[in-house]
Amino acid sequence: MFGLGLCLAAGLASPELARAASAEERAWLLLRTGEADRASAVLDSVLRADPSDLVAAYYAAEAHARAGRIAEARCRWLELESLAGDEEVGRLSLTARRTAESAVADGWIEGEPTPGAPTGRRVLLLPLDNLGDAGASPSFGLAWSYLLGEALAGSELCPIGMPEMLAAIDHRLQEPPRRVPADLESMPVNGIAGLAARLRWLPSADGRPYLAREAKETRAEPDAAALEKAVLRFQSEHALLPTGSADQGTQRALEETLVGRASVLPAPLAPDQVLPLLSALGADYALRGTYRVEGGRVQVRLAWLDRAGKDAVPPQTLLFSIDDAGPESRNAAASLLTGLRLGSPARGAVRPAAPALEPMTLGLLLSDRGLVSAARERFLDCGPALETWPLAERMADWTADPFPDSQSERLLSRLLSRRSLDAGASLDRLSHDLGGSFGRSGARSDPNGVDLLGTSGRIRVHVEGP
Amino acid sequence: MTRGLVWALACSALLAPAARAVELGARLRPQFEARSFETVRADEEINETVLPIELGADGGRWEARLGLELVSAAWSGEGSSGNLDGLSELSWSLASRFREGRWIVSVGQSTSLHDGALTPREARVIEPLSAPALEAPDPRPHDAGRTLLLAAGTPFETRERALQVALAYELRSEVELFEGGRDFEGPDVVRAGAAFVWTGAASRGEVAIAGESGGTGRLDGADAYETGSELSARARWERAFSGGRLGVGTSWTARSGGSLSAGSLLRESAVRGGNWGDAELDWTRRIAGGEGTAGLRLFAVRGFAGDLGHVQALDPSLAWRREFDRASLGLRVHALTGSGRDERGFSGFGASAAVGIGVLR
Repeated sequence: MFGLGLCLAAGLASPELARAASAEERAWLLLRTGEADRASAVLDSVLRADPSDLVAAYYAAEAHARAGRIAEARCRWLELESLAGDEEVGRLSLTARRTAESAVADGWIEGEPTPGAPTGRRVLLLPLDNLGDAGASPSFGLAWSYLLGEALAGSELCPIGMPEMLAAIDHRLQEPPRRVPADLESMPVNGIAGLAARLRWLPSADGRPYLAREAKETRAEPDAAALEKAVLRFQSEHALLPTGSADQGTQRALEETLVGRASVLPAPLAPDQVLPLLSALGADYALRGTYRVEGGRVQVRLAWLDRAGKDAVPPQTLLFSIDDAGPESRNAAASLLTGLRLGSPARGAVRPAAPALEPMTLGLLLSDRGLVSAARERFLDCGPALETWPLAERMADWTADPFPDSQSERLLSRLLSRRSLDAGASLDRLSHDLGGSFGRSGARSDPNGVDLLGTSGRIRVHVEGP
Repeated sequence: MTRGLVWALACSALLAPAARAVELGARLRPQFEARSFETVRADEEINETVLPIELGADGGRWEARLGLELVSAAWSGEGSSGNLDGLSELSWSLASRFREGRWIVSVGQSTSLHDGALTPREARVIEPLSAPALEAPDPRPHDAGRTLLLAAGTPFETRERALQVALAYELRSEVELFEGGRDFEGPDVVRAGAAFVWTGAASRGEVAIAGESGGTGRLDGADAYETGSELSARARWERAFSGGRLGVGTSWTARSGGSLSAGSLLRESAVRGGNWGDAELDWTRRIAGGEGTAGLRLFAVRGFAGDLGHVQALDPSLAWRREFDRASLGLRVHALTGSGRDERGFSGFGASAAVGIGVLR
């Protein structure tokens, strides 16, 4: 069963590895000692034997991440979310994926990273450009990207992460990044570090930050005079009393500016900017399209470009009510997968409540730009409508509890405590055959487990009355 | 001496050093079963609701269980009816695990709270509930107290195979049958079993065999009958696929007839043996955040006494189970359709749930 794992173990020098009782234990030891490639091979051998082993699949994704194959790990975690989104392994996959995506997106703030090698399986879901909607649903183009991404999750086509795409668009357009770097949100605005970090981040009217950035360190203690000057400039540009002191009004304005800036929808790309972006993100296909809202109906035109800029599948024109955006996006995803001969979507259609589509999309956008707390507030505003869009609901849960360390420990425990034979459960069942009633995994632990008179051999007693 | 052995085992389980903090748990498994069947005389119906409640503690190397069972059973047919309600059983068990859980020594007792005199009406309810084909939860009113001493272990285990053996001795205490009293003491029994479990590429199999050798049952202090012996076997094989898990299983039990003592008041049918067997096929896949199982089972009973001593039936079922961080929830419904002796009708329906918390999740 674990042939490859056994071969690997035979060549291991570590006595601890040689003693490892199972492939899972060996994989964890290899991960812990930094041999992620070998751990990945062992876990993939476990998955070849049992493709339904979600815990092994989670750690296989982690092994890929630790080996530097972030894009591959992301796609695996995304697939696990679509398979088991409500389970522990699904929630941990979401956390792991978000952490990986944030790290990659933060990388775009500093400069263009080296693109990964194309796999033929990655798609860039660029927001649809707005050709006119009378202001009713300005974020529909982005919402469509989220809906398509959700429909494709778990299929053979893996969408590029939205945080990475958003950061990359800013970079391509040579705009000051709208993505908020890691840790900034957690620093209170009424502390020197938090105040300085915001002023170093926010661009002033001339496009440069209010406070000059010093290398990559945003937590560095600023010069008092420079900080006062930056505050003064911010106050004067935001119609505040220019005191040079960060009073409560200034703090509030800083927070609102930060959130407002992250809430701005990504700017449209010029046609000649698409292919360079596709290449820079290591994608194989890109969605390019427009939408127009007229009389409550949405007209969407879609094209799927390959790396040469040609149509990978025939372009589509869709006309539908905004209430049907969920099912229509799934149909579009299905057409793409069918056209590329990559199977069909793994999930059924969702139907987000149309009135809440706008705030839910804004919550997703804020979250993908690194403002988790602000995103949570937007999701809370959506109320019960959140339940109509599983992606937004999962993200709302995640923004409320993004780092479930205890769950991670339990999952590791599940990986390591499993015996492939499950001999403990078998022993409990044998004991139960003989009348025993203990063990957590014996026949009595499931709803099917009833004591059967017929099989327990109890004798029927018929006695003549006195 | 037996009582001393029970307490010695109980104390050894409790005194075993705890490897970790004690984990507590509870489990509720409400079950409803309805059966209707034709006899040569009339149509009969039995409805039974059982609520077993279990409390458990796990100290790593030892575990303790405390259980009680509430029952509400009603029978109607042949122009009369009867019912049985209330707390039917209390039970406890202690188990100690050794050598990384590969060996277990356990002692447990169950006490039927119906072990006093049965009214004729209660007895009338119990009699059909004892039929092998009914497959209803066991109200154990005729069983009085039982004490079980059990040892089980894994003498051979590799990464992909394990052989397991178990031995049990069950003592039954005396009970007064019917108002006005006849003292009945069920026979003590010895049981032994062995199981072999193995894994392959994405598959897992398990076969087990068990036997029981009975003793002498006594009425009013005198030998009344010798029970027969029993041999049972079961096998199950599972294979995981990317879309779910396929399971195939079968079980079979053969019981030999016993013998009545000279002058016994028992009917001969009371010690008659028979065969019982089933075969099942099920498919499990992830659904609604948990695991859903659709199953189909066929079972047959042959040779036992009574209207339901000869039955064959089809038993389709749907089950769902979900595990949470510290709890689990299981639901199951099934239906029975088949025939009894002389092709008379036999049908039924059942629904059950299981809610587990903590160590019993």
